[in-house]
Amino acid sequence: MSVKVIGVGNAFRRDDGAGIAAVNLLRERASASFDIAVSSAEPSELMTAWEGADVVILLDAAAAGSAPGKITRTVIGKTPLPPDASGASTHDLGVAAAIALAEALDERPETVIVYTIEGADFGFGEDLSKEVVAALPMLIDQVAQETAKLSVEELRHA
Amino acid sequence: MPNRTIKVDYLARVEGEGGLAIKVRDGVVTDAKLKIFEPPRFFEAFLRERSFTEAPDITARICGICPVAYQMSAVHAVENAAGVQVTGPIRTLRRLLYCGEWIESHALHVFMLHAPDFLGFDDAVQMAREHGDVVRTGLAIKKAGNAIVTLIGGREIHPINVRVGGFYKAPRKKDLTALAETLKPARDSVVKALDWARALPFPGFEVNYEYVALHHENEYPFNEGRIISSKGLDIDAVEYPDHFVEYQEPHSTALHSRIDGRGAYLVGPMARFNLNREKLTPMAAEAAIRASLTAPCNNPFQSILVRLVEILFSFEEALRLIDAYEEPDKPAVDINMGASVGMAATEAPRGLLFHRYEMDESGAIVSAKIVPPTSQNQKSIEDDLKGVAQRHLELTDDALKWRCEQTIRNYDPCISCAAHFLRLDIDRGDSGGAHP
Repeated sequence: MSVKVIGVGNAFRRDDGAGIAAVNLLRERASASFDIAVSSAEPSELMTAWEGADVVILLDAAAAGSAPGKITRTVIGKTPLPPDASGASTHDLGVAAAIALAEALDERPETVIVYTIEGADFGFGEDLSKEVVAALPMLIDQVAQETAKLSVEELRHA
Repeated sequence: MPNRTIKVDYLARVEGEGGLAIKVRDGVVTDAKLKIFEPPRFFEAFLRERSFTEAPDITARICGICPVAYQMSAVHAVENAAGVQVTGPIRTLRRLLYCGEWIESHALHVFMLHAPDFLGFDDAVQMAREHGDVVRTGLAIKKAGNAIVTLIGGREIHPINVRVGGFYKAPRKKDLTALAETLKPARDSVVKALDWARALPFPGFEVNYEYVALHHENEYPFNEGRIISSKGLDIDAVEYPDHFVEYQEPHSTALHSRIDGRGAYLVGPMARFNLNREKLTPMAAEAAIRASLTAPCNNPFQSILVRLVEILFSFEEALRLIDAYEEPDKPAVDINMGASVGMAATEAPRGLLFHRYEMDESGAIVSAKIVPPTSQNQKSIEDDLKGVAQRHLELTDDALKWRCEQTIRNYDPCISCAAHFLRLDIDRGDSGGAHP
């Protein structure tokens, strides 16, 4: 089973870069059990990034109006995605559009799990808000546990 | 015919943000304004006091869709100031990089943004459910363009390998040869896509534009050539400021542009095609004929076909350039900059992109001027909207909104280069209920 973790967002729009910051932290502690990539969430780019993966874990910022730093786990197909921060991009397309397009083309990976961190500030700049910085270790712990669980399941199946 | 008011808050599937207002009085469209209200982005000011070497990387950030165009106009303008003409393999690589950007940009517009208009879908996701093969083809074509830009430019968006004088690193011939193999199936799929696109329903609407594009003796234009027009203009890029006037309109924070003494003009794929069609490769020329594109093509709704022809040309040109490529001894030529002024225009996917830089004796930029294609087309967009709205006043408000949005998307406007959000207001006076 091929697992890919993809951080999406715009690192120049403060908390919109939360997903990218998360995968950068994951890289520092990554085992060899999954691939890591970064994407802008432009649909064709994201679809290329997850090509060949059975399980995709997307890390993104959310602008859902909840408490900054709040982590939400969504399994695509089971619960709706929280609103993302795609307003910070010039395309107004985000993860949801990419997933919808892949579904329409029957090219969505079997399992897509989206982790979001609620952002506080999507203004111009590279610094993350203190709430997002504080939540990042918890996010990467959860992602690491998720990928470890997937590895165990794979071993069981084997 | 009654007065009425139509208002659309948001227009999707364009790059960037702006607004539009159409006024109808007693059955006559009296005004059409493209309202661009994004605050100025100050790129020309950012460039002041920076080194001439920074111009390509700073200006690339103006646009995520056409960064190569900004890099190319910047390096050519700066090299013009230094009196340097880059030739040989470095020139070949620049042209190849431009092929990649045209393919990326045109494929995104044709398949994801513009095609849904003709088929009655709100977006590409809806379209993909019924025309999955077409969208897949579009994505594969775009991916091939990305591969070119990634190999030459270092990454697919905002390339990092371009510098004044050439590149930081020249690709190996064997890597380009491997790339060529991946381009061939994508090229062939464009021919099929044109067969599909030629059957789209094109609204009847023809305009007597003044077309403006680069013209090169031997090539379909990317980086070089004289600026010519369908009404007799024939100038060097350094004469551009003498013939084209930028002016401010109260409803737009992006400067408008006109040909001095005449008025609106059109840059972009239709202008290039109409002024340079004899420079297309045989396969692209034949595909244009098969698609019933007879020059001059004066129907802006057929620009989707012209873009496909240009994609096909770009693949063929890329394959030719790869075949001819020989690795250079050095990836860039040396540039010595003193106090000077340089200008250049290249062909961005959306049309002519003019840059002018003035440097001081240390090579620092004293002033910069950038005229993007969408700014130049603003007046023609407004004229088209007026004409299309007048012709289709019998439509319901929703249908008329759709047609107006499609009219705007004919231009593939890169409003981010000049603006941020498009809002459409159609004011038909006080009888708003006549066309619910």
